[in-house]
Amino acid sequence: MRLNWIKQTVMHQERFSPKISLLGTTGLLFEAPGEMDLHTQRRIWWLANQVTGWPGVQETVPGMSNLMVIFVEPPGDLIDFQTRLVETWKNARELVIEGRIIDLPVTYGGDFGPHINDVIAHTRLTIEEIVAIHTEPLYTVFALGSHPGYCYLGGMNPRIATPRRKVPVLGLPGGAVSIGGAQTGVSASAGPSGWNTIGHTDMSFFDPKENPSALLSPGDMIRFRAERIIR
Amino acid sequence: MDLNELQQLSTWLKASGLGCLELSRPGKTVKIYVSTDLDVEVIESSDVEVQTKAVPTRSSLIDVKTKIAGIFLPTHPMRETPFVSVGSRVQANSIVGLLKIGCIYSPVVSSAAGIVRKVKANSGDLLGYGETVLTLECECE
Amino acid sequence: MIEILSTAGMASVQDIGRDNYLRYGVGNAGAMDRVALIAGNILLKNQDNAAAIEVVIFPFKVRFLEDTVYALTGADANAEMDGESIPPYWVRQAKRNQVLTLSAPRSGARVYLGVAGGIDVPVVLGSRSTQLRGEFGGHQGRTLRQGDLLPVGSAQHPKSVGQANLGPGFGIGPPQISLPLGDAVGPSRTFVRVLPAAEYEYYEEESLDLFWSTDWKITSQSDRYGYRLAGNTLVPKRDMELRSHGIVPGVIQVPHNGQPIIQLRDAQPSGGYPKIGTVIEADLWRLGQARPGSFLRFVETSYEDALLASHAVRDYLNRLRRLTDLYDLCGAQI
Repeated sequence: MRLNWIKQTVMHQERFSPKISLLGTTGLLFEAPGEMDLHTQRRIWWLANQVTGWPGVQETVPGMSNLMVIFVEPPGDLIDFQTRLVETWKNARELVIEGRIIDLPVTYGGDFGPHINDVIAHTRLTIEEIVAIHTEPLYTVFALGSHPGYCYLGGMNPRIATPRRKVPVLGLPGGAVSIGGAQTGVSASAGPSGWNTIGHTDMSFFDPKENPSALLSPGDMIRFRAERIIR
Repeated sequence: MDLNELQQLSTWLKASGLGCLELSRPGKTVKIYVSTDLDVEVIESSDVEVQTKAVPTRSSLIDVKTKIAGIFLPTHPMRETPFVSVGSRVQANSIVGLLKIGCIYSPVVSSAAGIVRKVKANSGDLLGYGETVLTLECECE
Repeated sequence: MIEILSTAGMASVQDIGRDNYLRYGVGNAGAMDRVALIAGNILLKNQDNAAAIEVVIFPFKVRFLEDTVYALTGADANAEMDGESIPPYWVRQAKRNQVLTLSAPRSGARVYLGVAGGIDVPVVLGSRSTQLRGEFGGHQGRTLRQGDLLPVGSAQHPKSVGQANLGPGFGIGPPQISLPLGDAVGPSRTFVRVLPAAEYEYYEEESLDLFWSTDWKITSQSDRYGYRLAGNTLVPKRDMELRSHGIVPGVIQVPHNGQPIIQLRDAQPSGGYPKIGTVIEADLWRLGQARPGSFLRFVETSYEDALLASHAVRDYLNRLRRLTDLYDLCGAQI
């Protein structure tokens, strides 16, 4: 069974097929082929809505051009479940969400942007150039994850992409604006992170007493505004 | 105990994979056997005389007896040292061993305070109701 | 009410965990040894997901401010109440003002102190578990401190009220005994079964061999968020920068330094490091009882066998349910 499984995933490495892998018996991960762009993401949102209603499914969790499916009860026939998932993806449409636009003032660099120098070193850009590139796009919230209220944003310019850190950093404060690989995001509360923290914002993103608890949801948009740059 | 309860008990017994259960109270014993061949339950009931309470006298020896049937465990399976051994001083109502009934551990409880003089039951012994587990030298006034 | 008389830290209120909020970034939380939590609730006639106190640093001391039926499951904390030793996986009654002391276990890591009716902290987003990162749930969204008063829910099953004459109480066979795994090499090594995950085949053949065949030390940087392991360096065939994706407790990530991290109950529900495998759900409780400084061994399994392992856990808990019911009935007759 496992051998078949691996053969299958190897076959799926082809560029245009989705890849499906197990997360133990708790769930599985569906990874869409192609670019990590808004078109793909809208199809992921659509797929999430479809699969949520399937029997045996507890929750669907969109990631960056991927979808985690959590089981109430792991399917007895895994191949059948995967086949259905792939078929549904083939027919997936783009779910367009008209979200809100949020303006976020950011202090770049300094004590709250401890890894800006790593980004400078990796990209060979100046801090001004990095800030200019980072504040330019209108980012779309692709997915929530990491910790309560955290938003994964789509639309970062790959020029400032910087690999995740070799070892995660413990105890970063909330509001950390960071770059991990080709992605950017803002942390909603203090905790560990493997990303490069380049700045800080004071917005509150999550309140369990509110409904919904998260300030932002997929489809909303964020614009970073450079309030201050500390060299 | 009525017939319904007995039937309930025997159903659970079968579900639990146990072969036999013996229940007693003063003057009454009920044994339930589950027959694996015939898939029927045999329920026996009899009037018996059971001594339930030792009357302590000054520095007398008393037997600590089982109040339910099960497999005797002198040591909790997660521990290395037995609850008691010869020479241990025990309080009244303290646990001196376990009776394993399926996945249940029922405590064997000391009926008085005293010093353990003899441990009669061996680990793994299947003990019935009223069998002696150990003998205490009672420290009574 | 229960009063926390002394704690060395990190004890928290946990139930089975928080489902259905992963897509808001809210991780599962919940008991690290879920089997112990549920076993305790079975002993107490609670719902499976009633909340208990998870204790990980000792000594830990509580006072019962009312007559309370309580259960101790998980590691053996050599518990003591008024000079009397309480065995592990045990239920019994405490009288008002009695004090229970838990000491450092010789093996195992976490002890669950449950009460009939459950620890009745408010339900936040569907669970009573403490969400440490989000600072909500549990008792005021944090670990317990000396002087904390925890409310006890009303016992739902008439039997637990009738257990006033419980005396020395009774116990059940612990999962360590009923669900053994691996050869008997003592408490310093824990075996867990692992299903390969998405990036498994992107590791060098030699690294994969080492992954399955060598010991992995649980470092001191290990907690409810995850266990950072130390051992041979796992080398990928090429560098990987993945897109962020959902992960679950049990996922074994390999950061760029090649030393694996097992994400656990308080882990973030998403990540981006390559995943070499996932400790199957049926064995997560074993990790909950594995201590920093001890060693892990990964045992390769198949999806089908992983399902069977889940069934074995379920069967064990069902057996406990049936037999505790039976025992209660017998107890009433004696």
